[in-house]
Amino acid sequence: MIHQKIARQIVPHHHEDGEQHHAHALTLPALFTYFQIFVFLIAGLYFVKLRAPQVLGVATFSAQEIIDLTNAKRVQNGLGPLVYNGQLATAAAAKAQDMFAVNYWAHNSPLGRTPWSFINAVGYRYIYAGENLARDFNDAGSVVDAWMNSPSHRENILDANFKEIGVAVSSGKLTGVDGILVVQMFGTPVAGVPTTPTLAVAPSPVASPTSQTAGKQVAAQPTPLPSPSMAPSPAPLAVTNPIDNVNLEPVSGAGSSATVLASRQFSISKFVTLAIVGFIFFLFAIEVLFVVRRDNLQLRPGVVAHLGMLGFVLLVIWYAVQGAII
Amino acid sequence: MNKHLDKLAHLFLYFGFAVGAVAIYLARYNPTEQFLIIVLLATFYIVWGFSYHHARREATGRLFLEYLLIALIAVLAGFFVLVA
Repeated sequence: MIHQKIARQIVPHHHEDGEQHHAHALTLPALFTYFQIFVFLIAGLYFVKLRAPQVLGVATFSAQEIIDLTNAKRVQNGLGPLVYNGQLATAAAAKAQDMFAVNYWAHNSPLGRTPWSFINAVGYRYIYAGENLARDFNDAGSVVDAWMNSPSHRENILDANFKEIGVAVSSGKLTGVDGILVVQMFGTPVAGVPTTPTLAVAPSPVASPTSQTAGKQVAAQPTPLPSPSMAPSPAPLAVTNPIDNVNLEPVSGAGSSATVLASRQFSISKFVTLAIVGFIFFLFAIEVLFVVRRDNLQLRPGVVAHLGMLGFVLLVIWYAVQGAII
Repeated sequence: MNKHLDKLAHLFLYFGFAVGAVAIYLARYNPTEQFLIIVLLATFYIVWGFSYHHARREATGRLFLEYLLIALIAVLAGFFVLVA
């Protein structure tokens, strides 16, 4: 009897009155329970992140790791490593500060500041410049991997024109979300390029809104004029400022680093979601299998559609990756 | 609704999911966009369910609630992983 009761929880069946019934774990009250579980999980997650985010893990990664991994990718692809440049790192840190202060997630600020303006502001004279941005990753490897998987960011990392690099990593609240921001700036100084009076053009930016590469003109005048149509590619930067979103301590230099709180949140929430949604999907799949195998059962309306919707969500969650890049 | 139309209706639904899967792939590393795609797909799923079962004259409040709850579970699952 017990095994029959358990079976009725997960397989369609007939009651004594002859009427076909869902698996009890798929009735409306059961579905409402799964819905409530997600509501509680989300509320609980916000509570934990607010009160004790370290419970969900703590991780630290530095700008130097980003630089090392970037150079490793270049060497793997037959290119020379980029040389660390303190001015570019300072420009990256300034860009990160500006992003936190003005609260934007883009290459160009809402106030019209381009990435090139930060590079120019530190006095770095360049032929080529580029920028990569990333946020909300837990480790340097994931950041660089994400960039390498994006054609436009990969183009920046593997651009033979770039000779120098500066990276800033900082944590803080950006567009309402706590996390890590990484700003990676590339450059080729005027002095580092063979003298050619002609126009040097960097690869035109890919039509991705996430990263752009800027080409600069080298002529007799030493000061490069940033092209207004090109934005720098994203660089990682993390700034922490719980009060007013402004990072008061500039983070720059190869040694700059940031601590990620709740670093295991993504993997935990992904696992829990796959378990719950997978369980509901499994029950509907069992229902279809039983109906196909038993003549006395009929497929209930909507089951095939439910399987499609749940399967789609499972696919999205399974392939979900942490962090964002532009 | 005959069997041919029934198959077409389900093909249309699954075509929508396939388009959604491609959109999700294109929005890699942009969790906010991915979440919006889930919301759009969930809405499409509800509208499809209501239209399909209405055409088959088997639409009931109970069935609509089932669609609604599964769509809500899908949206919350996406929110939990991609946004929260």
